[in-house]
Amino acid sequence: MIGNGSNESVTPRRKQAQPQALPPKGPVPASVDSSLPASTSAVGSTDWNIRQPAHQIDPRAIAYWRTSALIGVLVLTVVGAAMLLIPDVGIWLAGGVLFLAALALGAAVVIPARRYRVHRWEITPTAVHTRSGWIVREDRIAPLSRVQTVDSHQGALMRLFKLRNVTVTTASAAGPIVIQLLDEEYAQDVVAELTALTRSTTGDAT
Amino acid sequence: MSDPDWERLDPRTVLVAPVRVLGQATFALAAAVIGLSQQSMTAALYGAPAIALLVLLVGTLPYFVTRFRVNDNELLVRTGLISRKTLTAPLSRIRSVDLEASLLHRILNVVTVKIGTGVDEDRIDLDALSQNRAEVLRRTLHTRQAPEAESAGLAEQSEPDAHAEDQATLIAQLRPSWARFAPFNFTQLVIVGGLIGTVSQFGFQEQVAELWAQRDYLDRFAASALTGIALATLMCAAVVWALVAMVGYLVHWWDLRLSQTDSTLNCTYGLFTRRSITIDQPRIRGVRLKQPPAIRLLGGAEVSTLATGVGSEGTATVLPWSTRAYATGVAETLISDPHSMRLPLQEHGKYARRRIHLGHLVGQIVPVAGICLVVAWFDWSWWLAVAASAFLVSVSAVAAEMTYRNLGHALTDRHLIAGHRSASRVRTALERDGVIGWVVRSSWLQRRRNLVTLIATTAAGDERVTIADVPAEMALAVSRDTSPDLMDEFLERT
Repeated sequence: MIGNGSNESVTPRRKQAQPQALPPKGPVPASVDSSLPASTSAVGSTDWNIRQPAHQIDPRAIAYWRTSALIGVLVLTVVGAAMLLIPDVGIWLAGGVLFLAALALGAAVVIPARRYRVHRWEITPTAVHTRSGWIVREDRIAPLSRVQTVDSHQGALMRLFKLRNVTVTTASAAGPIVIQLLDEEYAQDVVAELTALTRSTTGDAT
Repeated sequence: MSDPDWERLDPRTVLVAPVRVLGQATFALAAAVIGLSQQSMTAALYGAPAIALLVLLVGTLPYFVTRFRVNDNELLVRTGLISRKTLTAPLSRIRSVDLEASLLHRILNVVTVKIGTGVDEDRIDLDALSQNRAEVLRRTLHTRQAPEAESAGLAEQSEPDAHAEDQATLIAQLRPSWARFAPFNFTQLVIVGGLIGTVSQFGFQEQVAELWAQRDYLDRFAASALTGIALATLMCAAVVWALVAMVGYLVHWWDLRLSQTDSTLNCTYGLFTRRSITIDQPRIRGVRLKQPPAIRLLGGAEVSTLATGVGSEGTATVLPWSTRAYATGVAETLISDPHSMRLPLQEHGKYARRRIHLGHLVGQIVPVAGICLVVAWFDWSWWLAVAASAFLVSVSAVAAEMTYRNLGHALTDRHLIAGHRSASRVRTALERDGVIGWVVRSSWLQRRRNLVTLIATTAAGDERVTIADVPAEMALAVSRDTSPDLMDEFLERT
């Protein structure tokens, strides 16, 4: 797919659904305090933005997140109900647990779709870029020349949905990049692609 | 692998190793002796020396059993009496070669060589070798593991270049007056806190309060006397603490010598146990200058290096508490970047300041609530709660302002400089080449103010350099200036 040193990014094997409306740009950025001293090497007054990574993750991720949240809701409900039945335990404690279960249910309904809109990833011939998170949004960028290992991981619930994570680690413990919840066969392709790309670069990777 | 090729430890190991084994086995020995004495006293009387002798004999085993050798590209160590074990360490994986000599070692003129093989924190200890052999071994391991040494030319060189030793420049040396900073290292003040806690266990305050409440002058006198005694005890404890801290500092760092050659950085220190740490220059990726609030007030600072594969956290303290000017000079010399430690940092703006103040204020909610609860519980005067809360809040406001002033970043020709978001003034300089990748993180609250937390990931030190609460455009400009090849394709202009 990459061959001949072309500058294209890895194209998806399956036809991913066209991203619907782009995620909302967020509130209008507050103006930066103009009395700040100039940075020693600022790029003039140009404003930079991290561009959105090209690909979204597999749509089944929504169902996966929802299911794992619902399992949590189920556990909480069972515990709460059991506490109601036991005579000694106070009503407040049981009520609190059930309230948590209700909150978790609300979260299970609302959050997965929003999180799906944020999670994105991209691989170029020289680097990896992922975007993830919902309340705390995170962009991670790492060069392929410094990658040490590429592996994939599939949890029990992920197996049900045929999803896989791809993890790229660098020499820094703070730097692993996880491309979450890709279709499992596609994930194997991505791993092979990454391994080929990183093998072609030399160095101690520190 | 015939025997003559393998080197043995120094014969004086026979004297040194058993002492170490005895020290390690003290608890087990004591337990055994106590156990024996419960059976019969005579058994304990005869048994204790016998066990000690046995332990000593076992301690001499390492000398007979350990062999090591250095090949062209690996270090082999063979140990074990019953189960032979061969440790193989590729020379390229050897991260550090440190020498350590306890008092006994120094009397016998031997050292322990501690070889660190990086990632797993496995360490190979050769206890003990003579001083000369240890130095030769260290130089051999260092020159052979340097990337340039892989070429055929250097591999044929049998003896490491002794000329390099002449070019060692002394960067820093201990001045005993620096011990005055030691007592203000408040991370160890938790001991004092514990002391106060134990004293208050005796219900001290209630008794004094009761005595004061009495109208009788004699009781009041007794109360004030008790308070006086308590204060005097505290002051004595403080003086003792200061003395212990200063003596400990001097003993640990005695005759510190920090010297630099073209290829290595060497730090030697210690009064009783003399330690010698050597770090390859290519592995040193940055420095950190640290000034906790109390020590900063006195004009002190500490320098540590950020290196790949050194120590458990990767940062090794190379200069303990010293005067700020001296420490700054040493730090700048280590990274060969003059003025980098004195550069004014780019501030992060009023939104970052507000965020820090708000965070500190919110952090005081729980302690203030706790104080109100305690006052209500003991039915003390409400003014106490108000006064204590006001004190807490004002201290935290001061801390918040200090935190904002310490926060910042800058970029020099070769280094990325970060001022940490903490009440201690910590400034980290990291080589631009040492930055592996970037993490740009923003919480919901930060996004509302267009702030992000920028993290440069690196293999050196604690493996990340965090620039907190930066305006987003500034953060991306910094990342683009530091790693243009990496970030160019991911950034777009707005």
